Amino acid sequence: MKGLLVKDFCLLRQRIKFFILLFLLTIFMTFSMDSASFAVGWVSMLMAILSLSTLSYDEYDNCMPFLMSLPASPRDYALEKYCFSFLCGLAGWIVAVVMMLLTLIVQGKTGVLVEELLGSFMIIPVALILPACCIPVELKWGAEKGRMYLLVVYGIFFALLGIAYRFLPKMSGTFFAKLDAAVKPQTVLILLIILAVLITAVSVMISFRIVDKKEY
Amino acid sequence: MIEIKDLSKNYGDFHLNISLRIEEGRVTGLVGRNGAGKSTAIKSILGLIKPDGGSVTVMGKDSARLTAADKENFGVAFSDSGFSTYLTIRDVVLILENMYKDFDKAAFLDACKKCRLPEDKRLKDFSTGMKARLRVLIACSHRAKLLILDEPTAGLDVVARNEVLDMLRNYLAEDPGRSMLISSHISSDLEGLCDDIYMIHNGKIVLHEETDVIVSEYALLKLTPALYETIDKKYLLVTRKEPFGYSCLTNQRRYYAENYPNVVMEAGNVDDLIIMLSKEE
Repeated sequence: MKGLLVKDFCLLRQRIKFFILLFLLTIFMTFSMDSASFAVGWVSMLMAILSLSTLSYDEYDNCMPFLMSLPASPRDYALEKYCFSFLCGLAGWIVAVVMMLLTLIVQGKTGVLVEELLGSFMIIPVALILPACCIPVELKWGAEKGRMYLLVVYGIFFALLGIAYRFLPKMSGTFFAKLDAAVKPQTVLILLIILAVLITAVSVMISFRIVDKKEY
Repeated sequence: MIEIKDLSKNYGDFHLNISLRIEEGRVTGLVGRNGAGKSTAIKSILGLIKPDGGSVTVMGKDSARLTAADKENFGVAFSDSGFSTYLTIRDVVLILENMYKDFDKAAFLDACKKCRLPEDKRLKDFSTGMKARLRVLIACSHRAKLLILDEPTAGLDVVARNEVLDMLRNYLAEDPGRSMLISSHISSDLEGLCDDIYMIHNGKIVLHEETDVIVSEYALLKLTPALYETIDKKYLLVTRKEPFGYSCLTNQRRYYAENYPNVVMEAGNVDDLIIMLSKEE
């Protein structure tokens, strides 16, 4: 699996110009936005999702038969995609957090450091959940087709969210206000971590079943 | 080394049903026309496809249960699949280092240099011949006991083909225990390389013979209709009607040479076998 990880890091290096742009954009966002931790979330999730573009690279040159004949099983291949997206998300998170802290110190906003840092920690499990939802779909239907299906699913999800927001404004407002007051951020973080681990475990099992049945 | 017993695989109208055996230290060729089933057979050996029936054993293990450690003993090259062409040889070295315990970096880089393969150029900028050479070098980079090569010379000119075949000969000469299964539709490639040859046609093995026997005992007889009527047909394997009369394949060249000295006879070669055994009539 180590070899597959190295392969994906080499492939991701192709996007170096994009990373520089992302880096500059993060600096801009941390300076210009009220919530500095928003930039951390944005970068981490983008990095985790971007890591999945290596699936497209593998498909593009019909690499799969050859990759599956290397000393790695199809399950290793699937598992590696989870590890790789997590590592990418984590790398993006670390860089963004360091930049956020430096920006806040430069701006003299040292009072909100702890609050923003805590908010940033909540991003890690979310950055884990996002690829966990994408990987099985892309393994099943291929990177391009899988991404199309995901767009449709996300579209439906946000449409439902919009309908709920329109029809239940008072109820949801009261509910979230009460929830916000009752639950401590630390509890939310722990709940998010448990949820991320559960979703990832289920996602890995689904991916294993998909690659076990697949022919190359 | 490899044993395929009654392997069957169906894709719509195509039905593969084959048995074959590759012994340790032997080089076995798998020849046949495009779409004959060579790649399907090779993919089943590597566990890349699931057979509908039969069994495939590689180094004593069911091909579906091959582990990463087992696969370290294989060197594999496909004509249409390899590392992403966005990578460079430098990247490939990094990957192989982390993939194979026995990867010989110095020897690999030296071989790349000898083959004039640039280290820092993306593989997509390589010519067809350069890509083919690299695929074979990768297969030979980690002291694999078994090479499995699917059409490694496809699309190459005669010079590039010979270079690839020479690389394989050198690799096999380093250790007599090494085995190889190589498929090709360019049969002349295999004559100077293989100990024995399987010929596959329409998903079935139609011939298995030692290469020496093909070259020394097989022949193509060119017969006029009159001669065809009188000739002993006991040892004629396949007969085809031609504009001039008949083409007949035999595996008893000497018998016809001694008894019918006037018969026009071409020495046996694998190309003739393919033409005679796979012509649709």
